[in-house]
Amino acid sequence: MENLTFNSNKLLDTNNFVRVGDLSYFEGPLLSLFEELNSGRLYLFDWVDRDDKFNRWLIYRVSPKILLQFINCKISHLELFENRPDKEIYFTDIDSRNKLFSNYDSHEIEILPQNYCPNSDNFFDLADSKHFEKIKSVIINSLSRQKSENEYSIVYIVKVLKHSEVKSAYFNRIKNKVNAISYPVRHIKNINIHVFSNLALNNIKGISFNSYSTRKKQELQNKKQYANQYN
Amino acid sequence: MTEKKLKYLQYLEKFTDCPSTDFKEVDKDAYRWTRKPVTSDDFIPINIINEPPPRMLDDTDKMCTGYGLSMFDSLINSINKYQKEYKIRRQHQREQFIQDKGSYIALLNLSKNDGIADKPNKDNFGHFTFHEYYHTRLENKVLNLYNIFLENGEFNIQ
Repeated sequence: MENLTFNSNKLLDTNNFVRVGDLSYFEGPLLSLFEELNSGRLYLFDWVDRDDKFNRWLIYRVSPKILLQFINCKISHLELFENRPDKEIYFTDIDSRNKLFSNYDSHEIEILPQNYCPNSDNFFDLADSKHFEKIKSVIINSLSRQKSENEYSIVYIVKVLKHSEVKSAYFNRIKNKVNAISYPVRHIKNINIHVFSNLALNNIKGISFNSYSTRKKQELQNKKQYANQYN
Repeated sequence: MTEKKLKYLQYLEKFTDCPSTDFKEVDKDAYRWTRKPVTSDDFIPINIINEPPPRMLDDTDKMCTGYGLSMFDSLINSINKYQKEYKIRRQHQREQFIQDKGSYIALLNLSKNDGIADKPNKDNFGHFTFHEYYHTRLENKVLNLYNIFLENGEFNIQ
């Protein structure tokens, strides 16, 4: 098995990964699709190596759009791999105890061995897949959710007025969750802001909320007014 | 009379309906990937082999069929499936595949006293799973051995 250069501090948390199905299976999984529960992001576990003690899996994110092309046999395994949305590639070595995958650490690979790249002539084959309908359904749901996020991906600001020490958080709002914080994407002061996640804004006392651009305009106007006082 | 107790029963008993009622005694030819010479090591189910460990990501991979043996209903089907599995793997995995599975195909004549099998899957190269009876020694039932590769490394699919 290849000796890998990896950063032991860069770990992928797979505790919220849910297995969707296997894109390729023979006497065990070869290429398996997972969904990260919180983010809805899709990841592949790609069996890449083994020795007498371990099976090694590459773990990388895939976009639903590219994955759909793969299961429609429009692109190869290599193209699927090369078009991953995040450059990071992780690996996990699972031993013969075969505990649940999330019990094993997944580290980021610093230098991917060339022979770990998938084959350019390897295409999806429905006959090798397990739970294909579920896989397809998850991909399509992920695509529609992504479209929704893109259309309504306005960054909003929440300003908490009640407590002086709590300032503000930025988040994406999803169409289907109007007036709700889907998830904060950036915090200025992140005190207790997590507890507001997925609550209707109307139900959160002591906060105001404006779009980021509106907020910026207001700040600019305030600055001008402040400056005008001294003109 | 030979006792018809299944091999690896202690593992099979952990599953419900294992093997399923689809499995029946058979009397037919079967083809299995092996090394040369053929030994008892060529007839160990995937879940029993510890080195290398079976590929599992969670408990759903601990399947009843993992305690049976993969076989095919014809020589050409067994070569074609081997070729397919070989080609989808990366180069270094192809070498591992040959180490794990061998590069020969053994022709066996399965009889009703050897074990039980499900029906060949026409959508998967006539693959079927065979659960041996306790006293079965399939290495002694090999009728012929075919080389999967030609001398030039090409697949032997004439």
